[in-house]
Amino acid sequence: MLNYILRRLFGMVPVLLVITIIAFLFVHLTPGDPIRIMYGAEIDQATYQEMRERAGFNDPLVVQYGRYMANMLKGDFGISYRTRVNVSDEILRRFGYTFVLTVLAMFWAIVIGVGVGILSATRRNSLADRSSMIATITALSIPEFWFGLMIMQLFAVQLGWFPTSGSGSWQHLILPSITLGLGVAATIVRFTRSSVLEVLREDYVRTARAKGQKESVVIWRHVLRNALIPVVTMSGLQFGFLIGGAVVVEQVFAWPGLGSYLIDSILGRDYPVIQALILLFSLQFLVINLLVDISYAFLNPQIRYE
Amino acid sequence: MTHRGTDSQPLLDIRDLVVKFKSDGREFAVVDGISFHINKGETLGVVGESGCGKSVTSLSIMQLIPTPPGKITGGEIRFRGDNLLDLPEKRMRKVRGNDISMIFQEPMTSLNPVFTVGEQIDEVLDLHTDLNKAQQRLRSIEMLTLVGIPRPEQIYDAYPYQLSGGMRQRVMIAIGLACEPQLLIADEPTTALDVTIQAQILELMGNLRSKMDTAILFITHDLGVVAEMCDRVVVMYAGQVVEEADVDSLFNNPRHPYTRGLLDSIPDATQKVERLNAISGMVPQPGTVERGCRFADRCSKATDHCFQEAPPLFSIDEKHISRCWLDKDHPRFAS
Repeated sequence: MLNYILRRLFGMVPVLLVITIIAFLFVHLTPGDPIRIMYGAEIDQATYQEMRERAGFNDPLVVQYGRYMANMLKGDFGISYRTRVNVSDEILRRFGYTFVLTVLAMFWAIVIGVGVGILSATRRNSLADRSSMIATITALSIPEFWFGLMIMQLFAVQLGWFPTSGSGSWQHLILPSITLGLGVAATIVRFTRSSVLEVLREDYVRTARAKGQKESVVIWRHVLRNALIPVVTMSGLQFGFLIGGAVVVEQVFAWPGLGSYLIDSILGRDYPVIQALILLFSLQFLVINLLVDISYAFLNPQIRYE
Repeated sequence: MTHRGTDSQPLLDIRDLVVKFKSDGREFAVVDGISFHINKGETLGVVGESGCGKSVTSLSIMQLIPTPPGKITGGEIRFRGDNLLDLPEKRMRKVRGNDISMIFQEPMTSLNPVFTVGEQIDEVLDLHTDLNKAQQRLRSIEMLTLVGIPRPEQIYDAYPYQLSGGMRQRVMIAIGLACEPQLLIADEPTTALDVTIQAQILELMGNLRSKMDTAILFITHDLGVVAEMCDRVVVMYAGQVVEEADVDSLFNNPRHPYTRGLLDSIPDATQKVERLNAISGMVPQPGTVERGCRFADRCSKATDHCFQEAPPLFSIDEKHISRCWLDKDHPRFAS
């Protein structure tokens, strides 16, 4: 198992290397001169050249990349063009917000998704199953921002149960996390349902029943252990998307996480921030994938020794 | 092999069992009024082509018919005198795996891939015995030894994917016999296995039967297996019993043209033939034969009468019945 994890971690190195190159070239390939963005178009030629020299933009690309990598390994992602704040500090501060929001959203999604999915599958074609199928299609079709605004209107403005937006308490988290988790929950419901239905047809389920096992134990022990393997994979991937994709929801609820940071930085052509976020989102995706694969190995014995 | 049925009451007595399946809004009787019995310690073969209802019959005994679409709509399944169809689900669960257990055709998929072999044998012991974990482990390893698995301690901790099909079927037999059931239902247990492995599994089942005194309901389409394993045989066709006899009578004096056809289609290694003998045509779909004998379409001896009126069962002798107008001079069988 340890061997497997080490092998996977080692396998991540080349991928990360390629990503750093892409993120690094990003600044050099996109139109717009960083010096002009930083100091405005009106600085004179001499100052401009001096700034260029000081920022190291006149060095060969390889040297610049080396410097970029060296700084990055020290945890230094540079200074934001827009706010002059250290990028790593700002990301670190905002990462917590996005992480909490995403984890809570995934929590709703998994609890509701797996629960309703199992219910739907074991009561196939019942009223509950049909309504849940209609509900999931609806949830998948509703745009996030609209749903966010609607529950904000209902629970924050009219009922006053939760604050409309911002951060500061656990109440602030509820509406955005539900909004963020809705689509994933619907996906997990459908996925769990079809996976459970498939496993219910397996011969070993019949074997378990033939042993005299209770139907509830058959479902919980024999069916779920197998049916949840693909659900775990899918949920992990969804989590990877969410952690970088809370952009819209953070914007709607003015949540001070990485998503809103990314939007602001793109609008302000704040390249060091964009660069760092590209790297971070890619790294998160790789780590989550690794965690998914490790959990997969725990769920599926056949993977363990290969 | 002799009958051990000295008890007046058979171990399992199926009477007029009807199982219907629904598809496209129509109901079909897949099993249409089957009756047969098994005595204590006896091996009964149930033979027939695919789709004749033999697997449905066996699943009905365990009440494991997938409902919907299937449903037992009539008849009785008496086990030691109790009608299993009247038992509440909770009591039926005590019967499954304990008094009656079952092994299936597909050893490759019949074991749960995420649990070890040991966990899967322990499970049935946990359900039906008072053994604690350590005792369960000992008993499971004992069962693995009994079914001829080498290195049973290691296999106990192995996962199914690490075992071959033959080994998995041995594990299934270990699970089936762990609680020493009075009846083992074997639904084509060797069909999916290589011929050499088939022989090993059959030999194992034969040995265990004499050791544990378990009655076996052996479902197969292989008459060679029947000759080797069974005391009596029931031949099924299109959801009905068409012939029932002890093994010697069936092979020496087959009455029903369908049984004869089955026997003729066994290749004979001593004769060189261009083509194997086969019964032409296919088993009719349930519900498609409206009147007359269900086999008439495929029967070389069919007369007009056969197409007009469905034959009843005729008693050839005390232990031999056949559903064919050719035997109409014999008395009608009264169950």
